[in-house]
Amino acid sequence: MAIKPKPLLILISLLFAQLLILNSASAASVSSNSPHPIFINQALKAALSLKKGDLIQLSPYPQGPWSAFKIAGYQEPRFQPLNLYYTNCAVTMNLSDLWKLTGKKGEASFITLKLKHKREFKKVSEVMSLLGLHLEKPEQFANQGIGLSRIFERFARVIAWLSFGAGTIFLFSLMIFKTEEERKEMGYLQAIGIGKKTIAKLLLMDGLFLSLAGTGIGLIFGTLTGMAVNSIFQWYFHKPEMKFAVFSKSIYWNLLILGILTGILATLLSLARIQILKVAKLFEKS
Amino acid sequence: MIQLAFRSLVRHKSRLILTILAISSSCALVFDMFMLANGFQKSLTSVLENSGYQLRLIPKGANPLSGSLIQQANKIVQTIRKFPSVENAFPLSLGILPVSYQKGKVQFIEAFGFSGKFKNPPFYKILSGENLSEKAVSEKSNEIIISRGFARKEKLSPGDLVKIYPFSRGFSLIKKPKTFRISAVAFFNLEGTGEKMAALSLKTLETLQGNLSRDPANVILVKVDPAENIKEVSFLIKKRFPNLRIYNIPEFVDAIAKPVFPLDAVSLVMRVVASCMVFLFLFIFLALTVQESKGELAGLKSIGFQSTSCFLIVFLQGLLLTLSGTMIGIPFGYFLAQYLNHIFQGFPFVPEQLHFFILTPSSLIFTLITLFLVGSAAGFIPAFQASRSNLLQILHEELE
Repeated sequence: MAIKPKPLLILISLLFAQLLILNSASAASVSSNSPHPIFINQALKAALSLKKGDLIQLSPYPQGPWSAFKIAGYQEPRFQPLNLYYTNCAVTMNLSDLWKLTGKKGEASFITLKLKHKREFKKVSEVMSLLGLHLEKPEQFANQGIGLSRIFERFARVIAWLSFGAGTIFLFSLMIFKTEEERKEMGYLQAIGIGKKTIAKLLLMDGLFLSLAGTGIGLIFGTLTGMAVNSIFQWYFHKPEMKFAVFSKSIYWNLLILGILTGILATLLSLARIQILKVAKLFEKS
Repeated sequence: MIQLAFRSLVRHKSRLILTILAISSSCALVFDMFMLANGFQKSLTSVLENSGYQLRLIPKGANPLSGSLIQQANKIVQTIRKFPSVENAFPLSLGILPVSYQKGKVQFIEAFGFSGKFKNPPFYKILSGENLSEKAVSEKSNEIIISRGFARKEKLSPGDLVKIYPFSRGFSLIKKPKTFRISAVAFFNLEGTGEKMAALSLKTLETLQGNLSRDPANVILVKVDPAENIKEVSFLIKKRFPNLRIYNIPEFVDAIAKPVFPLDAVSLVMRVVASCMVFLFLFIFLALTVQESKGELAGLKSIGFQSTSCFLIVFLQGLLLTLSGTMIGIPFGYFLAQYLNHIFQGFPFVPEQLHFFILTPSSLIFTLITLFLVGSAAGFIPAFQASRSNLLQILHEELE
């Protein structure tokens, strides 16, 4: 759980010194005379060709004052949704060192709470609101902190339904194609005494097979595209942990069911066309 | 030839209509994604240009969104104002302030702190009440201007009193709040729907935030007149203040819009997917059509039609389908873009004035070029197959 006064506040506080704080740094020992230890991430290491033991100077202002820190090691910060857009170079330091550096003693961007029981959330939330603080569950923190995921979700849904609609319409078109192509064969089958039900079953099986195959290939293609999209965004944001497209069993099942239903619907449409055709008419045309 | 291709297409109306509908949906998506590619940047550029201030200065090496501070901002502004062609310059800071009013609970507002001499600051327009007096802008004062959304939501009007808590050491209700009088309600240029914003003097904001000793500001805005002298002014500022990074409007927009909304990347991915869909629809439709009308094509060849003519008949069918899909898809895409724009405006802190989908001649031209290329590519292989149809071979296949 995280207490959040306001998203922008957190962003500004987070970025004020362009530094990233993680609790793990507090384990680092601080001596009064020697430069205090900090951890740097791989991006900063590569950007400034730094190594363990090097001294690095940091300041909240471009004109100084500068404070020296000694690189104690490398640490890749855990993925933070609120840190999505910003600099990929990060350092991890003791919170008290950051306070000294920025002159903002006692300030924190957010406070993380671990509740003994999840059901206590409401009670704790009420107490916090009396203090003017806003308590959020992790998913709320991630969603509302930036609001990106929710907006992108709505956007993605519109695009997905549009694409699905286009695909379904085209499938109908294909089934009409198929029916027209096989019209003569259907006529022959009816002429030699095979019932409409059997023909309908044949076509239905045909449609099911097509929709199953199409959905299967579509799922594989979709998974590959999703992986490509993830790679693009991970590269774009320099966040290898971030995932834009998340694959879950429910998505696969839903799509499979949707694919089969669409196939059946398209086949039924083509069947409706066959029902109204007369054998004599078929022979006349052919 | 076009007539022949057209007749061949309209022979089967129902499947043609369905295929055109499917293609037009994908064309709409391609068009929307071209509108999205630079829409936000263009919209933001237009809002910033309307402010009349062409240059923005922030600390060198800092991200414009990082909230880094320039020290002795007022001193720098005074020097810049003396440069030739500089009409005005002023420092601006953005902060978060805890506010309580009408015995209500504490809420956080975004506060703009500014100083300088001007009748109308470029980032808000007064709707009711009176602007901050010159003294209230240059000194510490107890007057603030609040945003339209804030006033509407909390039913506040000019003359009302609000309490603001100092925020210098983090927020705590134990600290004593200061009382401020609302002097005006204004529309802020970068105001999101219902967003709570306020403007007050820079000194007041920095006092509340505990930053006064360094005279800081997040950004300095500079107005150059005539605008042609921007380069000369930039050069002078760069020479005098090497620790500052100078952004003109396009650079500033690039620096803030690209990292915040990676819409160009989203647009590129979606454009590729939608173009692939158009390609697949066209290719499958044409391939099946060629397969179905192999006999006719071979017949045409036997009565003297050349391979090139057969190629053109199918190729033109592809282009006609693309054209019809585009003609339906573009108006559909335009209306769909309005809805998608509405979704994107739900981003937190996105100003009402900003739009994500902007119809420009370039977005239309690029859509047409892309769809023409996709249509040509999709029609090529079926058309090539059609050109190679052979009467004897087809008769042989029919007999088998």
